[in-house]
Amino acid sequence: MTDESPEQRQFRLTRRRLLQQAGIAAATVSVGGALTACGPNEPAGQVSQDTNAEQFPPVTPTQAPTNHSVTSFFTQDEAATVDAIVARLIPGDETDPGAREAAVPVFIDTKLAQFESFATPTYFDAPFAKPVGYPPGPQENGASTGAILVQASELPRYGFQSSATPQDAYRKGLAALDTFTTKNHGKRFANLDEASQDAVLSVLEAGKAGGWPEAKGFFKMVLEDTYEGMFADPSYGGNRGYAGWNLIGYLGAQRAYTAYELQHGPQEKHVQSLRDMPAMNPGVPQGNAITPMAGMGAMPGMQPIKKG
Amino acid sequence: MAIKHKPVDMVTIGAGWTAGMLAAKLCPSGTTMVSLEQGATRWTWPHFAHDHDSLRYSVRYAMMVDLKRETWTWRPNPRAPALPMRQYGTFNPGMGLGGAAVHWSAQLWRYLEYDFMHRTHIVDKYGAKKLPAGSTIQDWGITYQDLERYYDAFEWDIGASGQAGNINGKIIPGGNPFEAPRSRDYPNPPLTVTPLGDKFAKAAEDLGLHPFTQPAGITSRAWTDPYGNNRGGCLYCGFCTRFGCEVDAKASPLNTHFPVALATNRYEIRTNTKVLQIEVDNKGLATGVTYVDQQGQEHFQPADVVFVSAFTLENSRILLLSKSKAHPDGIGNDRGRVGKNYTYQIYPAPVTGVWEGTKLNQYMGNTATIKIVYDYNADNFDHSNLDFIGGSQLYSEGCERAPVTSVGKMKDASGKSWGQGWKDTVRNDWDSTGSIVTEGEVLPYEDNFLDLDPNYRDKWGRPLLRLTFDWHDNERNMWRFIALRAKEIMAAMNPTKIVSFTPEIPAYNIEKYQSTHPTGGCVMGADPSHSVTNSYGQVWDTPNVFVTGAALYPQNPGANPTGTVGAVTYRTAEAIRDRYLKSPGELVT
Repeated sequence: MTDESPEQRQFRLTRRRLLQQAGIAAATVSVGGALTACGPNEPAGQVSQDTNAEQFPPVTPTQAPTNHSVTSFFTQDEAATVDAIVARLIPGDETDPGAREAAVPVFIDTKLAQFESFATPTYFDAPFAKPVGYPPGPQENGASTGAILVQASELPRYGFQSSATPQDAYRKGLAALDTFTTKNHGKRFANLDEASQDAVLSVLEAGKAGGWPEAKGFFKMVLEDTYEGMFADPSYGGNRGYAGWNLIGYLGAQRAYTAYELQHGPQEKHVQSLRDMPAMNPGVPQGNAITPMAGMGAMPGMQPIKKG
Repeated sequence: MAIKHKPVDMVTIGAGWTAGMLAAKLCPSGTTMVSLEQGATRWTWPHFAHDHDSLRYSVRYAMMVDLKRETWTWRPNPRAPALPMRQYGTFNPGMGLGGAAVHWSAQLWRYLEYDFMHRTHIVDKYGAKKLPAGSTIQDWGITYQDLERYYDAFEWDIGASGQAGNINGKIIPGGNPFEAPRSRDYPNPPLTVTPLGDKFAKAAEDLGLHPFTQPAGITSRAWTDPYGNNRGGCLYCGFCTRFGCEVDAKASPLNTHFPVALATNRYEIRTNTKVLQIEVDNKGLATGVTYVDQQGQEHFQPADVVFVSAFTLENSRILLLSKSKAHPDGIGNDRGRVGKNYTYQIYPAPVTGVWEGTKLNQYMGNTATIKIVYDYNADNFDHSNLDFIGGSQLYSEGCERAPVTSVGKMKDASGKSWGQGWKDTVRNDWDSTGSIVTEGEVLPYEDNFLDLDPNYRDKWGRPLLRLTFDWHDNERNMWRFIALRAKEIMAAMNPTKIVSFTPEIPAYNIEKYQSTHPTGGCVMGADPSHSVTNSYGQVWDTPNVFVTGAALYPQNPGANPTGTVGAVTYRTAEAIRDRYLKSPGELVT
């Protein structure tokens, strides 16, 4: 496995910055006007928004990249390994697409490039957990010791406790996978036959990859990303041709179902992406929605979120 | 140096639903009020106009508290270490204008008469020996009858849908026969249910049980509320819990109380502000709150009354963090009661079936397009020969099933959630699978509580709140009984096969989403030595501070908390308007 070259790193960081700028531009549109400085004032029937911030800068599908690259984050070698893994997690071919055919590697690569670290809100402050084989007690002064000791058998109850970002976990995990298969099977993972790949993945899932304690967490992360890439809106880069949704009979982003459809199934509806669904009342100032009767005014500068 | 703002009559910590209710009830008669909201501004339009995106809202939690800034730590018992919930799991507190009441599921309940008289009821009927060891259950200090007219007002203000089961003592077919008497029906008829709900209802009836449709804070048809707000009827779109509603069918403060309050010109909401603590004078009365804006600039907002009206968990934390000479252990905590009676609910699905070849349309609708039975909830069944008290709802699994959050829960015949076998399972069964789900009571215990974490801090350097919580024998025994009842109903629903059955309750863990119904921590009561506030949420040791919401609940009934949050807040608002403002001081009786 090769480390990232300086060129690759430069490309990745430039790309990330571009994606972030897209997000920031969207945030500016969403927040819009009616921003009142947070200075001393009296109540005046208004919502005063402090400066320029949206809670989470929206990275909506309409702003998501539409390229087919798998090397925005991954190296070519890494991308090949990811491709081989997801093709076993959800197998397929041209007539019955799986994760490879649905472009799940594109989805994962895009996600890792798009976010500085986690895509989901994550508390990432130390101290981190350190598993031990005995009940270590409450550790009321644990902050000064650099780690909180936890009985290993209890650790799963505490959920995600890794000290690695997804980017680090992929980079190290993909390298560790090839090290593991080279040692035990004499080949990189991508070069194993399918039955051997399945056997290796089962070993990872069971947490029985000797000498690689992070294997179980790595497997779980890739599996969850594969579900996301196969079954999230295709605007995010995966689920190509609605492969995931067609597999299970899901219709995607629909505006409404009738009570009749709730009882008897969809009537003349076709699978569609969020991109295909018009925004509610696009271009109609205030839409049909209730807005405050005073104070907010017409929220000058606000625009409906544009269709992709 | 903090920027000092002009004094107002009242300030609320958070701009969620209770803040909206207080503003809508108090500002029209002259009160000035400021709400300080940690998240951003958002309105139905344009923010919810284009939001049918499960990845953004359900997987990436776009409407939840940003865990980068703060989270909660958890440990199963006081002898174990606590670790932060680093990513979303057990509950989903909200952030942004309207708080969790924007992304809520809108399952709407009144609690039962029994719930408010919990201890008295158990002792009178079964004797004190029936109370589980170590449990600290107590009466609320108010009764259902005290709250009935406030429940009624709240339901009509928000356009609730449902079928009454008991109007003034008369049992109405199709409703919940176990509900306490209500003075009139819901303003709107119940929502439509999916085929899974129909199967559940038929099976329950065959077993002699009493199924009914989930009451909801969702308008089932177009509706104009008593204030003149126009709301659309439910679109059954399948994007409800964790989403904002683009037609205002799902009630929230954005489409009910905020417009009313803002129209008075005596109400202001400042978004993207974080309250750090409540300040007090040398007598120990509150003088206002200190908060920071997004640049880290400190502000002081003086007010005569402070409402602690953030999410349940944050309310306990704010009180504990507000330390002063007068209240060295925090406001409300002079007797060490803040953080006590922390409870939760039992939520998992004990049994899942598959109806091969039958489509259930479970991806449409919402979590209220379902059928429920109350026959095994509360004390609706005899506990004389049972090894637990209390009970649970049982209901057909909530709808709005999203692929990205559901496929990973399915397994193939070998138990795997990936590979060709699993792929075939989701292909065939994804919309043919359904569960029966619990929503069970959890009692308070001496060793389940909230306090400040010694090791982890938030973005502003303040200790996180630490949850010490685990199931006890009463919950384990209740599950064993309830799971068997669920299995009986499932069998009567004639699935092709039962794909999973869980006879013993799984160990509590912080990782898996269960419900956003943590309660307690600032409980109300009639006795200051066992409560933080009186029945109005007025803090015993600092009577110009009021706590709102489910932090006031002494224990957690087997029903969603929001209906009672509305009723209790309405009662408090009325008492403040009609009595406290005329003579500020302790509200007795």
